[in-house]
Amino acid sequence: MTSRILGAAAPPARAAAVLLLVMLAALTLPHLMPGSPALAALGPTATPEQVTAYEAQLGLDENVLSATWRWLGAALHGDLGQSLSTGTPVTTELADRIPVTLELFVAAQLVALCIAVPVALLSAWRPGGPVDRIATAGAFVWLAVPGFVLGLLLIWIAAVQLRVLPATGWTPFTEDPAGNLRHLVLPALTLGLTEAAVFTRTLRGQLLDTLDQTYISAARSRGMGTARLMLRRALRPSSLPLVTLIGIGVGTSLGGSVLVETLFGVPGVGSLAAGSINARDFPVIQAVTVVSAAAVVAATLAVDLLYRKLDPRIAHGHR
Amino acid sequence: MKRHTHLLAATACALTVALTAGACTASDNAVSGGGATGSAGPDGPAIDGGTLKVGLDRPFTKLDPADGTLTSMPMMILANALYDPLMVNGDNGVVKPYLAQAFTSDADATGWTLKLREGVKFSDGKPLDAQAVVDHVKRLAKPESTCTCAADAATIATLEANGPATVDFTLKAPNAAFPSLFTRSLGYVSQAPTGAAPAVGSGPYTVESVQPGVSVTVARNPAYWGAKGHADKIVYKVLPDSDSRYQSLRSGDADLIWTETPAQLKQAGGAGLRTATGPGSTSTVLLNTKAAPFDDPRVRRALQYAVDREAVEKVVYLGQGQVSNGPIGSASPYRAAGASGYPAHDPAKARALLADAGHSDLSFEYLVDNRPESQQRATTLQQMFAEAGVKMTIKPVDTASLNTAMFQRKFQVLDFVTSMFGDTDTALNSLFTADSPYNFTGYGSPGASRAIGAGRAEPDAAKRGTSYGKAADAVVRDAPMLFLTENPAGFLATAEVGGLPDVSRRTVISVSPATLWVKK
Repeated sequence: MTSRILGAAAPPARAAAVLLLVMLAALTLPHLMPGSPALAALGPTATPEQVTAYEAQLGLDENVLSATWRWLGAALHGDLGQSLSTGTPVTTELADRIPVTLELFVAAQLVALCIAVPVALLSAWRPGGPVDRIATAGAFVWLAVPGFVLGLLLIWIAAVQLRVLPATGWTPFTEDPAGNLRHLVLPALTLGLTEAAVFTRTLRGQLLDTLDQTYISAARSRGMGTARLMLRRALRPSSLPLVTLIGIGVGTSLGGSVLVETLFGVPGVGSLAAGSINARDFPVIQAVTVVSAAAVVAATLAVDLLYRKLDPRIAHGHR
Repeated sequence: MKRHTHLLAATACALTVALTAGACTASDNAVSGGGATGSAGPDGPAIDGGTLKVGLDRPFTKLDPADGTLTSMPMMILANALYDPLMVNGDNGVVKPYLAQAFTSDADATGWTLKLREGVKFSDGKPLDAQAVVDHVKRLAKPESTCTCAADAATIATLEANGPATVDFTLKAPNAAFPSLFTRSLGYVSQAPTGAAPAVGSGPYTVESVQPGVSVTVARNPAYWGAKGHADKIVYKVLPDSDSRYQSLRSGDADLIWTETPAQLKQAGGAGLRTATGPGSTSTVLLNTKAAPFDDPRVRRALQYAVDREAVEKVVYLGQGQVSNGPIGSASPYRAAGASGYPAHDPAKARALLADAGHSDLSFEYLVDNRPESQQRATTLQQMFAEAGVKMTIKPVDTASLNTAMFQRKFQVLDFVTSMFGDTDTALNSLFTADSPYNFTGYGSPGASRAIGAGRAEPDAAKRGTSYGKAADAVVRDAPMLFLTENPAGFLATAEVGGLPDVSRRTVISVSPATLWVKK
């Protein structure tokens, strides 16, 4: 009983520990930077007064622990500091950017699932058949194509040659839903197509495992049709790893979105991160790091707990 | 930024290197507007109305001249919409009045008098008079402005309004190039911004809406004192990736973009695009003279001999640039003065010099950013140095890290592309005087410093040129920096854009959007 309680408590405790460590690392960053972060950001012509003001804003005039404590206290009250470049509160910047990245993430997952599920079903239905061989080869080739190459290719086809979609830019959904969708298509395809390859490989493997199970053979022997068997009996239990992949995707999507958002001029968290790093805008870099870590930790935790719910054997340690 | 960067832009001109170049003096031909240098035919009569879409190569931060980003070379097409500079850069390095009517000095270039155009108003209706100029300069000089131009402002001992249209400056030391400080941040006269609102200027356009990180839309300023802008509105979109920015131009999502990418300039003609470029940036190699083995001039000179500049130009810039012969750019008014004796490619001489210096097995690390043309340049140099028996290891880093290494002088050899050579006085004073924060190589030569100081203090142009020539000769002889190529930088536009000015003789590419129109 005790071990079961600990088992249930462990994921949240691990999550909190990871988050704390990431936060400490992010907030220690300017303290650890060689040379003066103030000079790096302001340039060598900065006057002593400019440097002092900058260091105070970064908390470099106090020790790491008290700076972290102060940051945490303010963060709990919704204050993540101010951007050094724009003077805007970091929470405002994040509030503007997070919905864009989330929308892109959801659209990319939909693209990936819409491709991966039918392709994996067809592949697993006849392993080694023509569809499977083409899908397997295609997935490997696809995985080797870097996102920016794919993105540029899509821009060239859809925007330059066919002129059916905008190459770059963004329109908020609240301003113009149709314009928003038009700007969403190419970045979502770029992110989603790459993920589709991973999803397909994973789901195909899991489907093959499932199809080996005795209950499938039993259903087959009862005369259940192939389509029904695949969709009703095999797909659902085989989809569990996709939940994990989507959870992990919350984290990787930030990494991927830095590139895709920069390429397409999409104003999400990724382009905010890229711009802040170039501008040495530490308060924004720190907030983006901590918020992204929190998102990854939350998603991982959710997947973990969801798994336990979906498959009680995991909670009991029986795998 | 580009070359890496744009670093500090504002100073006497800043650096901005950038991979994009950037930054040094302000701009433009806000009034002229002649034909483009590109392939399209005559523009025909100007067309008023419509919306012009401009692709920016970097995000704008605050819409305030105090922010060096806004007054970096690729961004001045936005700055020029909202603010009028007191002085602008014309052809061949000439600095001329724009919002100012005249900027004159006393005999020793210490006392300066600025005469303003009269009757100019900010877009909120307040007068842009002498007191507004004084207030603006004082605001940017304050520490909380974080303007890199504060160092320029610090060269001013006193300034005061002397009547509604006259400002008197007294400098701490003579500076015959003083007006050039007013082509960037210090010259873009504006009122202080309040909160998140932009700083108010007197430019041909005013801000209509801002989408943070995405775009800014400006509308024609009906009360503008000068020639009205042609387009009703201009939408500036932030498109940091150079490839997708170019494709946006080809797809019609943008009408005009900034570029320094050689392959795009080459492709532009075939794609029916127009070009307006000038020799805006210079590729160089910084040698850290404060650390062995580059504290030995023989080693530095050996590297000079090892480089075939013509080959670098052909490989990296595809025949669209020209070789650089030293710190005085080919379009500089002081060009004739000196530094014509740049050593020709001679790997045998390089080997001999290295043997003489006891460094026959020289090897070093080369810091470079990760843009394709930078990598190409690094690879080309690596092969040339190998020919001279020198082993060069290429270390690619991100732009921010490259700049940090450069300013903190934590490098052996560093790839540096800059627009600083657009203004000879700025380049010599910033890069080669011993106590300058921009003296990245750590070069110190009493003779060169004296010549540079004499040039700055000399109001007579011919005599200044002689001094700068002496300094340039010393820099080439002592080789703290290898000069490679002068490179085209500027704008690409669709065939529908009219009024692109001829910037082919400009080392600072700054175009006013008011001169442009869209044929649709």
